[in-house]
Order: sequence, then structure tokens, then C-alpha cells
Amino acid sequence: MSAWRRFLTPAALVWLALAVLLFVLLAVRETVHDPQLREAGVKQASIVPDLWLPVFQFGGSTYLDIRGSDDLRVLTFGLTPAVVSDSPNPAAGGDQAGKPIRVTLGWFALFMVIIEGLLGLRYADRDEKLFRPLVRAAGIFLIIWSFYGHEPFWDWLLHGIFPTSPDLLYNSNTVISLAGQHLTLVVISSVLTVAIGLALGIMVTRAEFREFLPLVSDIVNSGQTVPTLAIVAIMAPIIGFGFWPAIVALILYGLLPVVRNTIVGLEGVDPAMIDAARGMGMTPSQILWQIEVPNASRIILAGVRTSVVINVGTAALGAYVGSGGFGNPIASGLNQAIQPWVLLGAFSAALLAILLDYILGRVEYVMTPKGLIIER
Amino acid sequence: MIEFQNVVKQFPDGFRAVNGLSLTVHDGEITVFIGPSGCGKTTSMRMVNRLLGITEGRIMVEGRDNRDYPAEELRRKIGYAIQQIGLFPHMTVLENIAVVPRMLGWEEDRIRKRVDDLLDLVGLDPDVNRDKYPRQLSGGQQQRVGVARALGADPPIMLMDEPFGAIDPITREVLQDEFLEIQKRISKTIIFVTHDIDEAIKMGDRVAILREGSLVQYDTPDTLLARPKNRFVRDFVGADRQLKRLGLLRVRELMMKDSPVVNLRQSADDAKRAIESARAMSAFVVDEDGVLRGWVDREGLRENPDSLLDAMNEGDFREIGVRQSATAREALSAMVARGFRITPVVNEKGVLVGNITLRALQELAEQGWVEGEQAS
Repeated sequence: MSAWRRFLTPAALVWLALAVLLFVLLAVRETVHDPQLREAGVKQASIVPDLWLPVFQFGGSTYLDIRGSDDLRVLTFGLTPAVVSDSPNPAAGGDQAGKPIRVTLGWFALFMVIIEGLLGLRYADRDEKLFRPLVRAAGIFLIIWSFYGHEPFWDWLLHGIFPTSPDLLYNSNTVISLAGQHLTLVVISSVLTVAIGLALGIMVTRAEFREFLPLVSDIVNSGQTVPTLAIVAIMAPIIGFGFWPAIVALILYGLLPVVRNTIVGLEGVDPAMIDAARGMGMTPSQILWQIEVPNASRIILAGVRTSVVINVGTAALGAYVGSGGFGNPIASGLNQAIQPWVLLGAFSAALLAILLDYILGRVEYVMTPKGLIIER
Repeated sequence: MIEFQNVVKQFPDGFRAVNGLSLTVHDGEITVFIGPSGCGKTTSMRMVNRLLGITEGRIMVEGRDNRDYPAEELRRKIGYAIQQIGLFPHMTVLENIAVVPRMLGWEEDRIRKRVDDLLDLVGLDPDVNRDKYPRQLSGGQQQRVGVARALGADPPIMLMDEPFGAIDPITREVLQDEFLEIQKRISKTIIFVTHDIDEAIKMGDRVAILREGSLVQYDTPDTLLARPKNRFVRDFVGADRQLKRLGLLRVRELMMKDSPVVNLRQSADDAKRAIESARAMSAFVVDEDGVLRGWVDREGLRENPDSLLDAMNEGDFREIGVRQSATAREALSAMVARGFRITPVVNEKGVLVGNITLRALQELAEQGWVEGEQAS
């Protein structure tokens, strides 16, 4: 009995509830309203997707190829997806090479119940600070990503909100393609932002470069005062249209929270601790990486999280220079007065921001040294 | 051995914190640097491991100019403990203590054993405390870990900057006593900075009194109290320096064995003869094990000439005697409180080992007083 109680941790129970919900929803078959989907032969579908795991050639959305997306490789992280079928009918893909193993999301949620339960048994009396948060974050990412890959779900959602609208889904790209583009923009710009921001923040808190602190502060502050759209517009003639001007704009815009939090975090480290470290014979780089950065990590990571979430929103503006992402349906929808497209872009981007915030929150928890969180 | 040779420290703003300091810190001794704020005591200490640079003169550490060592190598040879403790909160107790041994490339097994030994030494149970984080420890426990960390790689020299300064008075006394016990076993060469004269007298084998960057007097605590060199030192050590001095002396070192002793089984006549032959006023009475049971005086023997048991004043050795390990100050206080001119000295089991007289204590204090007056 007590083993069961340890197995069914609160998190495992939440996954269990989610699994039940997904199985119930699986039984609900919706009539598809989007003209493009209907034209492709999809008339009836469940709103619950299959698990999206293209990396392992495992499952994957069977609706992926319906518009012959060019971005297939980007989406599948460079690997050919399991289902590349000319046939719009999912069932027809079955006989071809790379036959997909379809796993409905409910089974995945049940799998997560088992994983959470086993972790619960394994680490019953300890706060486990690595596997549990990361496994949870990965599970939630896969669930949401699977929904991005399931066009009938978006059809159902948009039809529910705009029952009279003739257009529902964005006409020039799939939701998952847009999500892939958007995520790529955010991830690449964030990685660069963090690298540049950390380097700047560390540099200006060193004694040798401290005189640059006000200058760097001013620059990163002004980066955020200039409207993003203006930065994007200025970058386009210099770098050209497409992916990179958007990345530059996102970096300039996202730098402030990272640099500011790095400075605040490093300046906030107890000087007595640094004095003790010096007195013990640690070199300046040992003091930086073994003492200062770990103790400032919480504040630095909070800055990274803020920066990434801001980036999800600003990346939507990249559509104006042709970088793709959820900005595309928003911009086109506004131009052509097609409300479902605007909502599709906005809702998906918001969902992505929430998802990334949650994942980074878990990462922040994992990376913050235990000694800084622990209670007496 | 640490030798200061005409050491000068001038800060960039022109302030001379240390002005031609010359003194020798002897091996295996605790040398206390004391003086009012701004006297240069901490500055002098911090020049030893080159946390501060030397403007003029030099400091010899174990026969070599300390500027001949690479700074980090020098510091790893010198234990460093500070008032703010400066434990690294993101590291466990073990990791904190292991910092210097790890930098010196010790094997993990050796480090683990060393950490356990050190925790034992400072009175913390290794099994309970090894994997705790600093936040889980009380202030006193943290400072014990701080001392253990300073001793980490068994450095021959230690610098301690008011290590017990931020701890409540009761715990401070305990830590001071414990540290003196530890020092008896490890015999490190220690520079100990404090502003508390009582701590200086208690902890120091020698005390250096500094004023405005110069050495005023460098002597053993006893000499310092008995013969303060000038008015400044006399004021600094305080008006009760005679009493403080008695606090330095143990009864064991002052006691005499000139008082007559009689056994409980002896007769009243035996007691009378013993007192008369010693030309004393009274005799101590012990039992067959030598344990103090009371005393008998001439008056008592006159009133009860037939029975020693009737003539004597019985008393428990804890109430009428003083321990040989007590300080002269405690003995004086006991005598004043009980109105005795002579008091028996006993060991831990109550066995009479000698006696101490009020006159002897007075003479001791007077001698210092006269010498001190003549000196100034």
C-alpha cells in the first residue's frame, strides 16, 4: 500500500488524469471544417494527436505532409520524418517504407505516469533535483509539440471560435512548420543573447573593465528602448531579408535582462566569500567559475528566462523581414482581415511562451545549486 | 616563522596604514595583533599572504621573502579564517573544507579522511555534518567549519581575522577554549587579529599592540599586563589589568604546600602539635584517600581538646576548596566570597594537593602594579 502511495506521486496523478482526459477526447471525432483539409481528404478526425517524435522516426503527425511543406527537414531536426507520403490519407502511408508506429498521446501520458511513479519510488525520501524536473519538462514539451503537429485540433479550435468564418487554417504553412520556425528563431537568438550577455556582464564586473560598466549598461538599455520593429527595419537593408536580421534584432532586444541580471547577480555575491576564496589561494578564474557564477546563477537564469519569453513575443515581428514563425499568419491575417489566422498565430505564440517559461523554470531549478535553495 | 622587516603599507590615497612594522611571529605560537580601529592590524595580517601588496620593507615567511612565492601558492600554504566566515553556500561542508586540498591535487580518499579528521577536531560529528550545506548550520557550527576549512591542507601558518567576532559571547568563549585545545595539538604559527583585549590576553602567546601603523608593545600577555610600556598600553589593557593578569595564572602554578594537614583518624593532640610546629593558625583535615573533608583551627581545638571530629569544621571540598585548574582570579574571588585568608587546593577528585593564600595573590598583584608604575 505504501509502495503504491509512493508510486502515485502528485505529479503521477496529474499525468494519470491527463491520460484519462486524452483517451476520452480521442473518442470524440470532429467534423473537419477547414476547406484545405477537406480538399486533402480529411473529413473526420480526432482532436487528439499522435505522439510527435520524428527524431526517432517514431509516430509523427500523419498530417504533416498535406501541404508539401518545404520545411520538413528543419522540423524534424534534420532527419527525414517517418511519414513522407504523397497520399493525403493517413491509412495509405502504412504500406510504405518507414512505416510509422503510431502512438496516441494518451498512451504517452500513461507512460509518463509510470516514469513519474518509478522516480517517485526511487527518490521517495529525497528531493531529487535533476531527473524529475527535466523529465516533466520534456513530457510537457512533447505533449504541446504533438498538438502543434495536429491540424485537425487547430481546425476544431478555430471553428469553435469563428463558426462562420470560411477560412480557418493558415493557407501557406502548417502550424508545426510555423512552430518550428518560431522555436528556431527563439532558440538561436537566445543562445547568442545568453553568450553575449553573460560575456558582457562578466567582463564589466571584472576590476580591469569596470569603467565600461556604465557604457555597457547604457547600450543594452537603449537596445530595449528602440522599438523592435524599427530595429528589424534598419537591419533589413544592412543584412538583407530573412532569418539573420530578425536574429540580430532579437539579440539586441533580449540582451538587457541577461546583462542586467548578470551584473546584479555577480555584484550581489558576498564580498567576504570572495575574500575567503582569494585568501585560500583560488585564482581569479576559479573564483569566477566556482564561486561567483554558481552563487549568482539564480539571478542570471531568471534574466535568461525573462529574455527568452520576451523573445517569443518579439520573434513574431520577424515576419516583416520574412523570417517566418507565428508572425506570418498574424501579419497575413491582419492584411487580409482573416481573424482565425491572427488568432492562430497569437494563441500559438502565447502557448510557446508559456511552454518555454515552464521549461526554463525547471532548468533554472535544476541549475541552481542545492545549497542555495535548501531550507534549514 | 614570519618576520616583518620595516614593513610599510601606503594606500593610493596616501594613507599610511602600516608604518615601519618590525616583529617576529614565532613558530607554534599564537601572536595576537590588537589595537584600536585603523591601527593597521588587519592590513598587516593581509600583507602576509599578499591579499595586500607591501609598499616598503619585506615579510619573510619561513625564511623566504613572501614575494618570491607565486601569490596563489603562498596563500594555499597559509590557512585563512575571517570574521564573516565566508563559507561557500553552494558547497557542502565537505566541499568547503576540501577546496584547498583539491587545488593541491590530493587524492579523494585522502581528502575525505582529512575532512572527517578535521570535523572531529573542531567538535562536529562527520557523519552528521559532512554533507550538510552552510545554511543548515548555526553560526557557531559555521565558524567551526570555517576553522576546519582554514586547516584543510594542514598549512603550517594560519591567519585569523577576528574569527570569533561575530558570534554570541557564550559560544565565543566555548570556541576560544576549544581552539586553544586544538592549538595545543597542532601547534600552528598563527597571527590572530582582534580588537577585544580579553580575547587577546586569553588567546595570545604574545600580543602585539599597534597604534597608527606602528608597534607600541610586543610581549607576552603577562608582561603586557604587569608592565605596560606607556600610558596608551595601560589605558588599552584597562584599569582592571591586575585582575586580568590573575586571570592568566593557574592556581596550580601559584600554590604552596606549607599548611599543616591532619588525617581524620589522628587525634586532636596530633592536630594541635601539627599546627604549632608549622606556626600556623589552622590545619586541613583529609580522609584516608587524601580527600579534603574540612579544617580545624586553634580555637576549635581549645573548645574540644579531646576529639578531632568535634573540633573540626566539616565541609565539602567543592565548597571549601579551589580546583588546581582554576585561575588565580577565580581563587581570589572564592576567598573574598568565603572570607578565607587561606584556601585548600584540590584536584578533580577532591584530593588535597596544596594551598593558596590571600597574601600571595595580593603580593602578586602589587608586584605587577609597582613595576607597571615604574615603567611608565
